[in-house]
Amino acid sequence: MKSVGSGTPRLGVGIGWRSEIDTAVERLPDLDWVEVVAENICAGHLPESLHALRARGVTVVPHGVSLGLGGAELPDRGRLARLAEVAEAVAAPLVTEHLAFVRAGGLEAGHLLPVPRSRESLVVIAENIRIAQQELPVPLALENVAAHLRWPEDELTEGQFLAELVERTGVRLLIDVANLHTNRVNLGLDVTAELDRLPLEAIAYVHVAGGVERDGVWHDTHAHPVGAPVLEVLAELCARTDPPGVLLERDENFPPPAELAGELAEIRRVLERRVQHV
Amino acid sequence: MSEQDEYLRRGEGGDAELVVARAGLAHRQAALVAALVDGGPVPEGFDPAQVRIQAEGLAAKRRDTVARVAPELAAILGEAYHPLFRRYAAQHRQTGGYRADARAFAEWALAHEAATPWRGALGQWLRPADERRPRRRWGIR
Repeated sequence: MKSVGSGTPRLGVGIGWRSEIDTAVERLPDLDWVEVVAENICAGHLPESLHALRARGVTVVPHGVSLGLGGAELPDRGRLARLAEVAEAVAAPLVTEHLAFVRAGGLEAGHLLPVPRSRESLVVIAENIRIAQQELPVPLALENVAAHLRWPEDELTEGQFLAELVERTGVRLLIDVANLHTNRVNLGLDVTAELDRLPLEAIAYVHVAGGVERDGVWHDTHAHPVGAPVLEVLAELCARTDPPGVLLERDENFPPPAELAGELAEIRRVLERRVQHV
Repeated sequence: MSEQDEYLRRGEGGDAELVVARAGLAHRQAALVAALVDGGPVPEGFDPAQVRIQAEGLAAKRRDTVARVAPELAAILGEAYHPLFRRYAAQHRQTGGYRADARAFAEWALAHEAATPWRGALGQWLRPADERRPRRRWGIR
């Protein structure tokens, strides 16, 4: 694994490993790395498929969905410990989570919710990130989320908020271009301006995923093929920086392996166009 | 001080700004989550239409996740699954895992829908009558 910049590993092009498509993922040509949903695997009993991929030199990165680092509470120590165990079990170069909260007042939301982007919550979330960083054995990167609502407290854009967190904690970023597109459709986000606000050097990797627009609302389903608008955001990002990694997320309605390979090839073409333009 | 106390103290550390910020954030986040998954009022300052769309998204994710962990349940109910689950979820917040949610939903559907073609199959799914027969294993992840 080569490194770029300040120790960010060069990941390449990968796909989200899911048990439903494990053999398809194993057979994908030129696969550099996979991401696994940390909560779906157990450090003591890794799926055989992940062992096989690791033996071939495919990097595995755990992606957490339940920490809720954007929550008001201290990050749960048990959840952090489990994430750390998974990271060590797969010898991950980093782990990732979300700029989101998932529970409050004793209720589980069941999904990633956007945080109020106020100066006040910045203090809390920066502290949560510092605590997580102390408990984790490898660097942490945080992902921007897809949202259907905005907080009245919002003083900063997500890009500005993430930049502040990078500055205060040294956390790295996972930029989901499908989520940027989602927020463009649903909340009127200016994606170009948002990309300009991101601290590009902090980017660890990029997520790409498909969704669908219904009645003027974009649903980030991870169940549809990646469309042109999302690939265009990827191209816009790649015009600004050379991301160390790009990963395709597909969680449902799995297509035949050839279609997944085709989507990865499409992503590689966007990255190659970047090289040609430099 | 124990290691756990040490951990818990870190979030405070005598930092008054942090303590106040945590309390304020906790209050607002709790109000929003209650509006999204527990039928609570839309908190002050939010766009009710945006909150409704987000709530529908969370409900759809819950419904689809239950269908994925208990595919036999969705198969038994067929076209009735979506509208029934919508009614159930509006009255019942999720308290346990998705398997428990699936069973609670099935119990609710049996209790609330008297004359339906799927009653028998649903009751059978919940309480397999003849335990001597080898039970079919479903593909649960």
